[in-house]
Amino acid sequence: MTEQVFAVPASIEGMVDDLREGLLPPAVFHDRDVYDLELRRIFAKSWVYIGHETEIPSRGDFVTRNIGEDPFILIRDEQGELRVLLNACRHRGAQVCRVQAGNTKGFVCPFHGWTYRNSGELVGAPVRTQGYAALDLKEWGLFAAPHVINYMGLVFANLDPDAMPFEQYLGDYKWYFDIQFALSDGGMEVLGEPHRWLVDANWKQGAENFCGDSSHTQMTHRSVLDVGIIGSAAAGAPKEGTGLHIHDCSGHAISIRQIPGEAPFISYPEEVTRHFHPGVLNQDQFDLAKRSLLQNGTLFPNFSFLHIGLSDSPEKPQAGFLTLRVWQPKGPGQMEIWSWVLAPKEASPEYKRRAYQVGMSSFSPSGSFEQDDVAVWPGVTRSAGTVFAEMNDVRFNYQMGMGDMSSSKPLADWVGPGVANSTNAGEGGLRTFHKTWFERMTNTTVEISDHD
Amino acid sequence: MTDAAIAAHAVPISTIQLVEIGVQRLCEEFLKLEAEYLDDRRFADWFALLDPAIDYEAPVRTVRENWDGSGISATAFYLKEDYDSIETRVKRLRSRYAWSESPATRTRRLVSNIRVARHDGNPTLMAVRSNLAVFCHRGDAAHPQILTAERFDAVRIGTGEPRLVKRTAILDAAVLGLKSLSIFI
Repeated sequence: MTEQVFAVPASIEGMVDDLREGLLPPAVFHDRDVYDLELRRIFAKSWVYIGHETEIPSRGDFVTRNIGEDPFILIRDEQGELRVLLNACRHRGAQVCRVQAGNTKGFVCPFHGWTYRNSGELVGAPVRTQGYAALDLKEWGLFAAPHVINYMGLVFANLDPDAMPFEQYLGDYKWYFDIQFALSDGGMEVLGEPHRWLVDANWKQGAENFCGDSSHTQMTHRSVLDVGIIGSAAAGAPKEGTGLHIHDCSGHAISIRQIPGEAPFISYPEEVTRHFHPGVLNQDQFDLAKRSLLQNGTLFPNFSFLHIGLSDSPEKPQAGFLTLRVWQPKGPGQMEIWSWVLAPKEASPEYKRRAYQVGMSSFSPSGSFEQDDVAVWPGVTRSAGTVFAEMNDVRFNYQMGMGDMSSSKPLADWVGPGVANSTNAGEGGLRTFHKTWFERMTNTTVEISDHD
Repeated sequence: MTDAAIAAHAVPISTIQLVEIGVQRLCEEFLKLEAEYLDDRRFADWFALLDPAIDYEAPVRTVRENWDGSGISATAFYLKEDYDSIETRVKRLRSRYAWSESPATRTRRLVSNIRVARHDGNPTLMAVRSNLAVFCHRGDAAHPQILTAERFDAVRIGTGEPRLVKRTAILDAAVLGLKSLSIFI
């Protein structure tokens, strides 16, 4: 692959020693060379989230999405197949689709008129008999992602022809991932169009945060604790027993807040939980969901989820919902956040409206939580580019909960996969994220013993 | 029907409909006062302008083909608020830990193209349509982020002070350039 000409930038070459110490060079959030390599070795080679099947229920339905910075069309073709097509005419490269969503049988390029079916197949070009008589239509369809999978309604694509199968990529993380999407037979349904907004921070700020940055909530989100729309068990200081961090789980991580012996069930009300049963989950997975206040994680690289119950007023009961988000890179110093709110398919229309309202009020551009995350993150991106940091060979500290730093040891008898800690006073999930990132960037495997 | 329910069935004002000059002035001054309170961060005074039955929304919009509808979502919103949720947002802004507005965005609201008509079925409920531009200066950034929107409001006049009963604020942006919508629009 031509990507091999991009060498690993010197700024991250020796990073493995930093990772062993729980440190991170600021270059990962700033350097253009690093970013250019990310687009090629991470976004072009990972399973990247594209959209949810419930966003395009009918044949011809489409939405436009991105992989890295490349524009794609996710469309359900006339046969009902999900296609992920590069939004670029095969003739001279103009975009064949210039809207964000719709329904169509095909695309006509506005430049010279090359015409494609909604499967991406080229069906014609103007004055073909005069000027393109020998054009082999079969060879000139829209470029399509070589691998597309619909996993529990989630559509992921991988641009690498040699990509490992999605289930292998997910690996042991499946145990936690499936809980989010399979509590009821119908699975989860997307409620409405996504929020999209720009934040002047590196995409990894969002991705690492959802790996289990449990100690930021009491500070970054102190205002929502003050107002009383969430309890301290769910967003206060990390705590032994209620906190649960799982890291090094096939390269991914998850953070859980739970109340052992109780059944908050992510604050879903009885009218919703009566549709929940183990189904494809085993009893251990189901029991974990039952005692959970919230679960959040990142499937490497830039797809995160948060399953939580909140309210938009202390006067109103909490409502459970699932938010999905994509941290889309737009250069080293900017990302576009995409977020969706989901609820179990079996929930009533009234409950879905309520779940949407609560989800939007907490995690969206106007979200009472998320507003404050994005107020803080741009500062990191700015610090990462400072000359003085470079002069002083500065490293960011990700040592929280690592080795002797932690007052507790990993759980020896944990029922699920990965390394589990019964306290969330740690940054093990973030270390997992950056270790995975380094491995993918350098095509190496790193052995790090992280007894969180 | 409640005022909010009547307002929900409001027809957009698309012809010249003259109302009494006093009513027109009252509605215009109401929107200007509201903008002043918000720009001055007098949130308690602003909140007092809202009817307890307030239905306040800002829908998400998506770019669609011209023949494929407005693209204004019926199900996705940047704001979908009632009296209690707005009160919670206002309370949060009083916390010194509300980092998105601490330090605060300096906003300058320009309200124009104000059109006023009566709602059918309720002589004291006015349909008020306006254009809004909000210049948002944050931190030490030299240039503002600008939000523009069209607002469809229902304002109750008659006995007592005017009150906002319903607002639909339709933003022109399909992707927000503002990192957080931590202001009211």
